[in-house]
Amino acid sequence: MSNIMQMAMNLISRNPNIANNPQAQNLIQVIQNGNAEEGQKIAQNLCQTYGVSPEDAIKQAKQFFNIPQ
Amino acid sequence: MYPNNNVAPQNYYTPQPAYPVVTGQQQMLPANAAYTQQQQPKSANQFKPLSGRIVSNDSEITPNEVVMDGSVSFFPQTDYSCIYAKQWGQDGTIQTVRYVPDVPSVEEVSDTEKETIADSFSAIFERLDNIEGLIKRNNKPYYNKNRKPNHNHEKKESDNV
Repeated sequence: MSNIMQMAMNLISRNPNIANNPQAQNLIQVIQNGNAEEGQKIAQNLCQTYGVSPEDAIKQAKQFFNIPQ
Repeated sequence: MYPNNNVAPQNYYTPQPAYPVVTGQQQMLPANAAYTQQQQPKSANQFKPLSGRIVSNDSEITPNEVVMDGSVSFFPQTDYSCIYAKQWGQDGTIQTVRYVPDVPSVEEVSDTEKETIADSFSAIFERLDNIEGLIKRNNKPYYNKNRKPNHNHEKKESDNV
């Protein structure tokens, strides 16, 4: 499972939209480090900036990835 | 003119393709040859356009309008009274810097300075008046070029002889 995760992270990192985005780079670093507190803080700030509640954001993300609610 | 019923001979020209044609298993080129487009070398001074637009106020700017590549997006106000510079931060927030034009202020002249200036001008005007008076006095009929000769003076000289 960890190999799949590592492969997924490598694929995401190679994406030019991610590679050229300093904010995305920071997010990937947070995920790789496993810093849940920092990740949650970034997610909350993003939701606040976009004017979306965290619950709505999770709901939309599940819809986007076709994850059953 | 032409031997075949005045019809010009038609030359069927088939241009050769610029790319190699792979027929079956035969390859014209080695497998590791790659046709890569010649990329223009990126110069250090490559022009990069600014992102942003003119807005009526700060609340009109949406998060999607701020680019996420680390660069700053500029949003001048419609009356050009200020420019909002927005940039995504590492923590998921947008940092905003408001630039306001620096208009040089005109210093007001104090009352004492005004009096000093008035006194200076009055001294200049007084001197001009004096000069004008001198000119008028010097322009008497005595010094007039078109003056009539003094006959009384000539008679006296003749009397003396």
